[in-house]
Amino acid sequence: MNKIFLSLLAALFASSVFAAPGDPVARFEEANRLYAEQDYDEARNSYEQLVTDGTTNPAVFLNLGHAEYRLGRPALAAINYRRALALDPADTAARSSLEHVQRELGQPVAGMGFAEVVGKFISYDLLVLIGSLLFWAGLLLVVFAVFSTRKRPGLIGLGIFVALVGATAVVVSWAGDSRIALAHISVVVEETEARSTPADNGQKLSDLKKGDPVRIIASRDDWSLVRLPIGVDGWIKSTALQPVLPATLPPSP
Amino acid sequence: MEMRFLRFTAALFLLSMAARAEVATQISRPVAQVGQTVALVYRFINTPEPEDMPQPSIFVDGLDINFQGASRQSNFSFGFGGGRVQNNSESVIEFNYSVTPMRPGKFTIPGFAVRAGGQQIRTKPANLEVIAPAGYVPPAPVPPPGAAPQTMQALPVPPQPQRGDADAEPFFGELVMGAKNAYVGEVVPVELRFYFRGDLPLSNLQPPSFGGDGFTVVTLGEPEQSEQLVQNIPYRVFTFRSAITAVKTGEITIPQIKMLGTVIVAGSPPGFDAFFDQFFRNMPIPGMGRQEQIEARTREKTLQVLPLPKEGRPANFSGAIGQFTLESTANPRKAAMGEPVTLQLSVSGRGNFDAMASPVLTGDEGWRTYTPKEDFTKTDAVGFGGSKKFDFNLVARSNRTATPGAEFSYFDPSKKDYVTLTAAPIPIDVAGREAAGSDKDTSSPVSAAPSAPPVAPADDVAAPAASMGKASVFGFAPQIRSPWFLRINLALLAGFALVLPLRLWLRRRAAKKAQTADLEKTLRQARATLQKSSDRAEFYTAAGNFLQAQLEMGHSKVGSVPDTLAELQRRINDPIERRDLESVLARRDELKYGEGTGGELDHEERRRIAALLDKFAAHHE
Repeated sequence: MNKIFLSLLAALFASSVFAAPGDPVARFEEANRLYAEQDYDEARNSYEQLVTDGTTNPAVFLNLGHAEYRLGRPALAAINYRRALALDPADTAARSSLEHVQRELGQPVAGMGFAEVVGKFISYDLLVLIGSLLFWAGLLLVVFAVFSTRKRPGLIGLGIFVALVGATAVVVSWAGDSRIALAHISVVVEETEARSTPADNGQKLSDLKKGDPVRIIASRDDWSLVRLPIGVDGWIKSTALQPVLPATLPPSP
Repeated sequence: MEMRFLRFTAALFLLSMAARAEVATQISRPVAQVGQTVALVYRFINTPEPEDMPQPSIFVDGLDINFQGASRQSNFSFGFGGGRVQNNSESVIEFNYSVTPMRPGKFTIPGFAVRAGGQQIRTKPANLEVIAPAGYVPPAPVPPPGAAPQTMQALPVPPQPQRGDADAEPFFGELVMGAKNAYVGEVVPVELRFYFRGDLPLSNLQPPSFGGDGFTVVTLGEPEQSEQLVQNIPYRVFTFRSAITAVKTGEITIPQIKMLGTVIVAGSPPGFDAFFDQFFRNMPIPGMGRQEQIEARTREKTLQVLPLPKEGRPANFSGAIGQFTLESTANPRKAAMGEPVTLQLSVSGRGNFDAMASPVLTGDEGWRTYTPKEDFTKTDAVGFGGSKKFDFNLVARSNRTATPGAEFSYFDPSKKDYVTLTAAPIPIDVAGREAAGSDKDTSSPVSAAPSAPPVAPADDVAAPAASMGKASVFGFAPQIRSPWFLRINLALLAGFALVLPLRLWLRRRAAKKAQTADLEKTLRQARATLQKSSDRAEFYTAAGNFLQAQLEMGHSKVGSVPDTLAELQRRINDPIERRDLESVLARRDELKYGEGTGGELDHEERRRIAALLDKFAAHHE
């Protein structure tokens, strides 16, 4: 029994010491080194590998965006800056870089809205958890006060207040969390044309530039029906689009 | 009688001649500034009138001394003391001169001899120290006599007020404008000057009200008071400083501006009959006289207002008109990313500071900027000149090596053109906490540390992250849409949906139980009374209660049957039984509310009623 335990311990130790090459931190540092040596292509591959492995670290997406930017792909850089911001709305480096790239692409820079301001102070995931807890706690208080043998109007008021605060927090999370809005947003990564039908000979509706965000409505074969910036729906080759949120993630329900 | 009066008058004259004679020299102030007029008075008391007082001037090198006029006064008073009549008489002749120093120094106005009544009288000398005012230049040109001193640098020397006769115009006003033409929005400094002759006994002076159509004015403050010679007549001058801003183009008219006051003129005081008016005119008494209101007014003036030219108007022009300079400072010069840096832009000069917007930042990419705080310090009374500071709080969003620059555009009326001032970016050092610690050379494209990426230059994307930091716990899937979150909330919702009706049902059942228990108690009590009571009224009351409770048991609620008779008719189909039960209720009411007394209940009646109620209870349980 002791031998087995010791063997397990040794295996754990060995894995912690010698597993550096596969370690995300080591890989990240290696990518940073490549970036510092201006080997942006290799750096991008290393950052991309971390993304493929399922990292949810905003620093990785920020640096991947930088690598794409240095490689002359500002649209892809913008996507990764948006990803970093989706993970951490308070990431000022990602925000300023996104604004810089947007200006370079000739896109309007929205600046910080209410949602971004809230996101700077608290994670939307935490906010929604706290909000739902408060909501149910408030409802419980109201039920308790209503069915109590004594009349408790103060407790009913408190319960309603707490429930309202909780509901507000949930609504703010829903409205402000950029990941919800970005779930169906893709960015045009190569200049393309939107057509009225999913065919090359379909009527041309508009030209799309690199970096233009579009909302995916439906997909058919290698075509995607998107809501165009001009307000109408059109078909675009799916290869010209890249979803803002990584495709490796499970689709939102 | 007439002889006696003449003798008395002659005696008085001799007595006055015999009084003590005196010559006094008075100067209104011993120290004066260059250009500041002081009064010099030679007072001859109880002397014959001097014959050769120097006129029109007294020559003293460095002083401009001019004769202003003479006045004569005679005072008589009588009293009784020591058992005899006493009299005091005094004649005073005053010769007034104005003294205007031309240069600093200590001066002595020498005494001189004059003839009076065949005798020589010598005046006493007077001393005057003249000091240089601030900004005095020794070889300053001597202003012409009577010229008004220039008090506001921006304003031209006002023209000498044109009056035909100084004595005929003892007070007047003057509006001095800094320009005859102006642009819409331009601030034009003005001075309101009101002149009152020096010998006027002024009182109750009221500040003028200044305003009109087509322009706004700066509220008048306290006036400056000075003395000034106009055509060799000393005047007291009240100067109000203000500024006007035209708000429409075309010719605007600045109406007359009045300053009101009161003077006391020789004549009978209020309350005296007009008969005494001539007496008081001939023998004025200091402090006594008739009050008259006076009104010094300026002349109406016009100002031509031009529109600002559209040609060459910069995009960031926000309405500033005047002459300005722009300076900038930054503090601190070294900060970490996220720490605020204050960029202070200072606009100084002369112009419409009220309408001035802040300078526009340039090259502020990578900075988060906020609305600046403003602070204005004026250098004159009306705020035409001054300095306005704009404090911009800036927070770097990425590594920065310089603050943003700034541009400020204004319209210069003297050049009739727009001017754009620029403030160059100020070198500073703002670096991210991690990047700052890992790389000192912010300009180098390659980092010295192998794991640290280079720091971005100013106009670029932000510096790469040097370390991974914390990963997002929940990743790209928002919890509000995660299955477990939805399931938990749905479960809670279902729980509430189930528990609430159950809780409500239990609560209603408990209430029903409590009501039924009350009714059963009533039935028990009624039944006991029916068995024991021998009083007829009490018996029938208990029978009625029994019927009532039995009917309410069907609803399980106390008080649910307000009309017992109607309920009996609804629930009992057997007409005989219904009639018997109705007769029980009728008997109860009769015993309760009728005149007859119940008396003692017989056995047969108790048995019959008890059987009827038992049957009813058996059928309706």
